[in-house]
Amino acid sequence: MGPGFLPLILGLVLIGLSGSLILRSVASNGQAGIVLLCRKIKEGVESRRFLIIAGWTAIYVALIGTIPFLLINFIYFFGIFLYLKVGRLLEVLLLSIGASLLVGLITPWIFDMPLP
Amino acid sequence: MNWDFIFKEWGMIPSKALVVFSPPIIGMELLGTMLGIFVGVTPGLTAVMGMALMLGFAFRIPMEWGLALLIAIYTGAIFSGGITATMMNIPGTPAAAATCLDGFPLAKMGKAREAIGAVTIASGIGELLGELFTLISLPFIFIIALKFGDWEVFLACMAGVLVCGSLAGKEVIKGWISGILGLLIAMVGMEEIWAYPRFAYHEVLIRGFNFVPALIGLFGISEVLVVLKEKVPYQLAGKPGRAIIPFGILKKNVKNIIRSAFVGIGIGCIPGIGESASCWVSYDLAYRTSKRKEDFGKGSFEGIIAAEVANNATSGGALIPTLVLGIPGSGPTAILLAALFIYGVRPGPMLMIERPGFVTFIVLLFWLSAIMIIFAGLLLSSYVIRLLSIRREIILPIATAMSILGAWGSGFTHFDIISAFAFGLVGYIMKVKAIPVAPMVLGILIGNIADTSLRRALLTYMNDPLAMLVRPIGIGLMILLFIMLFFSLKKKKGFGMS
Repeated sequence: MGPGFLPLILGLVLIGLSGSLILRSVASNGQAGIVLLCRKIKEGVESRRFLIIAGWTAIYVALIGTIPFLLINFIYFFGIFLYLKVGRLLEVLLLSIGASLLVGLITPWIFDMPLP
Repeated sequence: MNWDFIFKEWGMIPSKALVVFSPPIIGMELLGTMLGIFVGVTPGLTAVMGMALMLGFAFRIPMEWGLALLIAIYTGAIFSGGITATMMNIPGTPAAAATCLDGFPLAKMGKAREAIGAVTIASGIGELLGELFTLISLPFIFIIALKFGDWEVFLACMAGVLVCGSLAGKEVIKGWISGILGLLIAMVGMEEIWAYPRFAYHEVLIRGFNFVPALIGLFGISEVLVVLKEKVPYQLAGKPGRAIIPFGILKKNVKNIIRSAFVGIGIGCIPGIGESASCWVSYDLAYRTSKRKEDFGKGSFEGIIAAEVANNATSGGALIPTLVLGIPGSGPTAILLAALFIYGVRPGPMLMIERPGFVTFIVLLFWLSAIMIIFAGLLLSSYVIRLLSIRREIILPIATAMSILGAWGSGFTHFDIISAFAFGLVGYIMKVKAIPVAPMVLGILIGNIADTSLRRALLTYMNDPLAMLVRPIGIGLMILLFIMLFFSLKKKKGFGMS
């Protein structure tokens, strides 16, 4: 029995189920909602907050391994704490140093793990 | 029936109790309970995330200690999620979502201490009853499971995905799509029979997706993103204080407790669904059978007890597919399963024969953690509530970085880090669009087992496929599968999260 047997069956079932969802959506004029959704994302405070946090985390994830781990953690925490307004600049700086030491130094040392 | 086999397992309770009640294991349980309470109380941190983060540490200590630590985190987190639900109307973990409905109104009425007492005792009782059932029933289930062949294992996997998809979300189709996507994700990489690379468009994909980063992303990072995007500050509904045991209320709820325990165990037995669905089913049943329906949603102790007994009893039921078939019953048991594999324990029908007393040992660890959560809940609740004053804007970014580190620790490749984050984004979108995450996780976990079992069964019965279809247990499972399919389609909407 070939390795593509189950993926083929699952793929067909997926097409069937997704197709039924699309048909139902089109039948209830769901495509009109797409414009509304895009506008909501563009104007919504929560969406903007999510995009900034997720974007900043994506940059952090992408840079792990290219910049020393401790430094990239400090940059990540400083940026995100600043954006989330956790305190004044000095508090943010101290919190970022503490958090990056915890994640980049203390935890790997306790678990004896190599750094990315 | 092989009674010797069954009595041998039960006869090991005293010797295993001596091991469990030894100082190092009690110490690990204590540490695990505290960590579990911390992750459970903090919205955005889940039992899976806590356990996944401690996996690396658990492998550096003896197996008995490591399992004690992971199990204590599991029970501690599921229990303490109810405290946050009661005090802030935000479930600390998804398993405590139903507790919000009555816990928060009670706290607003000035009955926070009684509500937390009810959460604590109900959680402890749920855990004890769930594990008791597991201890009694598991030897019998192992005997039945020994008769399972590849075809039956495949059918059991499919039944798991089907039911999980039906119960975990508002819409059955969305649940099934989520489950099938999970199965397809599991098929990325080298397959196990011919060593053929599937969907390996890049060399990093040949190894496939490691499921620990996938779990961290889907359960952990996505939850952090959901919580962090909200700007509304937390507010406690009442003053923190030591919990009070409402004995009179518990006495009136004996029937409710027993029924909820069975609901939790039953749902735990179905692979993949877990405690986040059992609390709703149990709450729904308590509502339907209650004489005081009007109190539900306004501050009913019946509602709290039903939800908390069920979500804790689920861990007992979830152990059954995990240990008998190697198919995890819930997210946390998936981490437990990963730990067992790395410790060299192979869950499956042969487990009780290969390692007599192991199941008893696991059950006793759960019992010890149940005792710990009762004491922690009653003695430390006022301090636990103070943890809620730590700002989530500080805790959650640290938790994200820790999760990334945890994903790295699972395989030491940059691909694991990227996949954890990518699964986090996928999980976030799914949560926003009300697509259940649990079926996808189950699909990822059992995809390879299902695929290998089906193809091995088809290869074995290549000359006589009818012989495969007429195996008695297989017929029973197929009938069950069709009944489930019929009722799911008839119902259209699952009662779970609605």
